[in-house]
Amino acid sequence: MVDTNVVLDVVRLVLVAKPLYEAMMKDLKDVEALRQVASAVDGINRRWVASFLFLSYKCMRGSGCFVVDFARRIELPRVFTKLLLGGALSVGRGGGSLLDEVVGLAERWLSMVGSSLGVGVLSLCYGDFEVAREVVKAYGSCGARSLARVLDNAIDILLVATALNRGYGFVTTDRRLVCGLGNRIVTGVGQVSGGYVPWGSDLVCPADARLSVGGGGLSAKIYLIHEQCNLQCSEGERWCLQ
Amino acid sequence: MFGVSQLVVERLVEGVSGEVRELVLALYDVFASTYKKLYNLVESFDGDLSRGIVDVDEYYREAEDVVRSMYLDAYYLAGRLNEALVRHPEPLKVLPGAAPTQSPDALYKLLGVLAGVLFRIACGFEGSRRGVLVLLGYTYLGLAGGRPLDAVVFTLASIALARARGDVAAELLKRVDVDLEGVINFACGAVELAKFLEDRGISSIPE
Repeated sequence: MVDTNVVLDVVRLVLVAKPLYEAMMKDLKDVEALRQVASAVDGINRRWVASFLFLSYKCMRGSGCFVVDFARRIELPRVFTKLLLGGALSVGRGGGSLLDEVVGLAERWLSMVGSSLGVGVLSLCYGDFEVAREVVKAYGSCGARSLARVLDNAIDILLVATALNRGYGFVTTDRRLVCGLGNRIVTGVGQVSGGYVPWGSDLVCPADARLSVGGGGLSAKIYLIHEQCNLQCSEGERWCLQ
Repeated sequence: MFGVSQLVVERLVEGVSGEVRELVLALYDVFASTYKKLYNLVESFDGDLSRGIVDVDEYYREAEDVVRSMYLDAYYLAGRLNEALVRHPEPLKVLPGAAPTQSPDALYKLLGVLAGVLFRIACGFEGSRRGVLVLLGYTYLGLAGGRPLDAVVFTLASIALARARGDVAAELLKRVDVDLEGVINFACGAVELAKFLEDRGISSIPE
């Protein structure tokens, strides 16, 4: 299971290569084109490279690589709205509301993600919400202030809860999520550099998520794709004060 | 360095515009002249392919051996690459200046963006040319992502595909848990998604 930003990273890498591609294919020599090439190369983020590699290996068709359905309804419209408000996207008004158009664009894009990258959409179910409720309970003992922060991050909790409920690995770029759930649900954060890193890379940081529910235990692998794995969580990123 | 090994890499970028070709060759030149074992590996692999006697297990072991002996000094490589690029035409000459020179970060960025360029070019082709260039792109992605063994295996697989030995390429890639058809589809899927956004005037996605 992947968070939407990991999928977007893959496309960011290809988008940023366009100025260099055009300069080389068209043999451009003007100063502005070359400035754009320089700016494009400088804009590369190693996290995008790691996301591209990770999903290339792990998201083969039929291997159970999903985004959850709130990506379609909340996350992607949020990204497209940001593009619209930033002036990067001009939506052709076809008679419907602006929101409908943005949602429609997000839907079309997500459908292409499914067919092009092999990332399916997973519908949330009652069990996922039940596990999320248990996660919130586990944080309840942190105190009211922390619980409020947990609820602020309810959607992120739902992602980890879904991974736990189904035993899927969860790939994210959000260190705040990993730090926030650190020690209570997510373990091994910050210990990765000295341990076994299956990716042989300093960019993909594996950790474990565990939760006791009733008499049993749930577990899932968490992969944080980040610029560095020697993750030191700040107090501001921890939801539960120790 | 102009030897048999260089000719092998030239074959990989056949039909590709002059400057992309120049960049791929400049990069290969830097790596092959720095790592003699890599040069020898590419040369002997291509030789065995042409004779039809490739032992995939043996070449995978040799690739592991090459990587074990490689000391990836990114500062040194970035410096060598910068020297090589400033002798080239304008679009390549601008690359060393794109990030602080002689820094590992500049090298990773260059390798990452070059992978993106190769994916774009590759996906404009059909058939084996597409696969050859996608695998070459993954070579740079592997280097930029800190996976040198995978990078060497991707290079060998690309060479095998250029020699019409998709079977050898697929067998090699299995050793690093990669599905040949899968990575080609994935890279071209990413290009397709990027073009969908570009057609709507979107050239970057906010974080």
